[in-house]
Amino acid sequence: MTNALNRRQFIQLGTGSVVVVGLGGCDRRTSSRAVSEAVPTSTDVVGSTATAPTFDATSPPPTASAAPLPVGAAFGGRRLVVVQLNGGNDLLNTLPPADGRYHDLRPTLAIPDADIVALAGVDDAGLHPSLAGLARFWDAGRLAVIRGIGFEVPNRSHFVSMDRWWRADQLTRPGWLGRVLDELAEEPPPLFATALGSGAPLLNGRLVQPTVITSPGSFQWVDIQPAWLTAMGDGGDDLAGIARHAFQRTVQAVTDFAEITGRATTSDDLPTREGGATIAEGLSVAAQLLAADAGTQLVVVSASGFDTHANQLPEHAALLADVAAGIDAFFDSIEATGLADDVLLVVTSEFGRRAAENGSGGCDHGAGGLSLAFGHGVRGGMFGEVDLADLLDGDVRPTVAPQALLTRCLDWLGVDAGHILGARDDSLDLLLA
Amino acid sequence: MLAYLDLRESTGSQPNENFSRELLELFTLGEGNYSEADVQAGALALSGWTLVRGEGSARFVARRHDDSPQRYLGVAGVHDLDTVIDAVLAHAALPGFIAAAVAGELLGSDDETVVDRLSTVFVASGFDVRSLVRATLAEGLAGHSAPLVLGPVPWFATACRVTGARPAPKQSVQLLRAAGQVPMLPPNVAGWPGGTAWFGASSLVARANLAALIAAAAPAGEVLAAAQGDDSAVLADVLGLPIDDFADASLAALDAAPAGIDRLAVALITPEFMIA
Repeated sequence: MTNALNRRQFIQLGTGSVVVVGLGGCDRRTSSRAVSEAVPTSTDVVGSTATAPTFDATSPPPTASAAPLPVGAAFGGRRLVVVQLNGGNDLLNTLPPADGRYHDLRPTLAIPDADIVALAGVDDAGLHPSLAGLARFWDAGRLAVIRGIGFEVPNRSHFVSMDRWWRADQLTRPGWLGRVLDELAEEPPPLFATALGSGAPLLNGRLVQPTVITSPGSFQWVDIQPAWLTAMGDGGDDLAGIARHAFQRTVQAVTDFAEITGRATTSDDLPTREGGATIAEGLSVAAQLLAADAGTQLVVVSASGFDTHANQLPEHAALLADVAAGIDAFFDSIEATGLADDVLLVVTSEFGRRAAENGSGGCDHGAGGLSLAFGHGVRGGMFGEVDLADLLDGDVRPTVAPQALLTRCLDWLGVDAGHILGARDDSLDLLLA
Repeated sequence: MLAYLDLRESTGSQPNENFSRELLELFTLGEGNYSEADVQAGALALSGWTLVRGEGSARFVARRHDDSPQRYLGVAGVHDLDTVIDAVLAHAALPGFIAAAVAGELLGSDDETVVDRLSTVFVASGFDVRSLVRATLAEGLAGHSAPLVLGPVPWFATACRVTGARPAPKQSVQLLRAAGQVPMLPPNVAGWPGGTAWFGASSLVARANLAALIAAAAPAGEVLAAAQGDDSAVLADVLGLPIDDFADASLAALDAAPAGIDRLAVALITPEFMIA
């Protein structure tokens, strides 16, 4: 069977190196829905990966799952949206604790008690006033608040911490959702995994890469006919082949995206407006993608600006208002298209910020942070703990491992979390049975 | 850095660690070669440097500075900018970190023996960056390099140089931004990811559109004449490509585009032109 299959390309992102090997897999040129006869069995996957020479010693050898995941009805139709707040969102001002120490630590930055949005049944914390619109999800039991999430031994570097989140703390392996993409029986349609905004290495696999759309308004051809690029063809194991394959995927992605969002694939004029990378805009497009028929099942929406070392009060208020407006409108849209039962949305950030404010009207990098989970499948409630009397080097002590959240995200998709993450973490009872 | 990494806000009584951390992590030593205590000590020793508003120049304000001696990167008595620089330069991880960064950028290679040689040159030259770059380029001429995906900016500069095109600056910058690279404006303090990350969908769309803009701005001359003609080997030659001719896949794309401006645009986004 292996002889009937073409080679797949292994692309290692992040290290700057490109590794290309021959390995049984399906023809990347073939439409994902037309290659059922070429779907490798699990035996093929085991056999071929075991003999692949380029899984170097620094990478743990991939183990085989029970069977490759079919693309057409992947995840039982369920979708996952990850909203990534880049820069390190401040846990303590997003979820102000009812604790005098909070006001001592934040003499100029603490949210006044009178402004805090109460959460029914919770007496030790509330929401930042910019998040008032999210209380309806709490009241409906469809919002899980996970406080103090972070790695037990934190690293206060953005890049290390983001990398640890993206790669589920196994830094020699691909992104944790990229690993899921790699498990698919064939290369999925280009918009199956889509990142809106600055990019999303958590979606980067070894075999399969997501489509990253940094600016929807610029995602069309200007004075270029896609047919010219299509003529370039596909295939080839070297860097040039990777470029050609990327062009073919991109042509398809632009076509699908244009159809879904009502844009044209080609234009005579450059866009007059730069697309802003706000959460609200990203989630608006995400809702369109999920409702369409281009097979989109994994979406990452990211925005930066959460690195509030200075001038935090007004900036953070505006950032959180964007998050709240985006999530609010997203679920309105998702409810209207009948997808509400199928979507889990989680909000993450690489770390929280220092418990005490600095002298610049901001807060430096910290440890324990905040995640949120929304959806009909979510068990609403408060998870994790924040104890300002028990700080870790001045930071909120991490009480929930990111692995626990990722385990539930994979459970939601019906994917073997133990296989994808290396080990399950069942400490977060986040999903309804 | 005073503004971008908040150093101007940092005072001895309320140090801001942002610059102190990235100085070690991204610019000199790399993660794993320093401790959190080093970051904090560095922030104190660098406190007091601020920015003269409107001038963009650095100014040291002694009353904002904590001059107490710190233990920093294993060195005792570090207390100000000069002693911080001395301690960083004395650190064993510095030459290799810088050499690897330069080699990765210019050679597309992190080959350990090459990096070791460059690191030795860098130290012997007294940390002279010019000497390091010269030695790195010499390694490249000696064949110690790997295929390198040109980022949008070096690709744009090359395309403009070989075609003689001067596309409209405003539109060019707009498309470079969409392609993911504007000079002096990296996405974050770590810079551009590079490599195959430049083959992302958004970046390729913008790069193709930019190729069309460049081609449309190409003046009459040998390049446009070659794009009008049928001899692809001539086109490869006038574009300065170190090959006899384009690969078959690229020839198919060149054939699909009408001769002239459109064909030139396609030539600029062939793998041959985008990968050095």
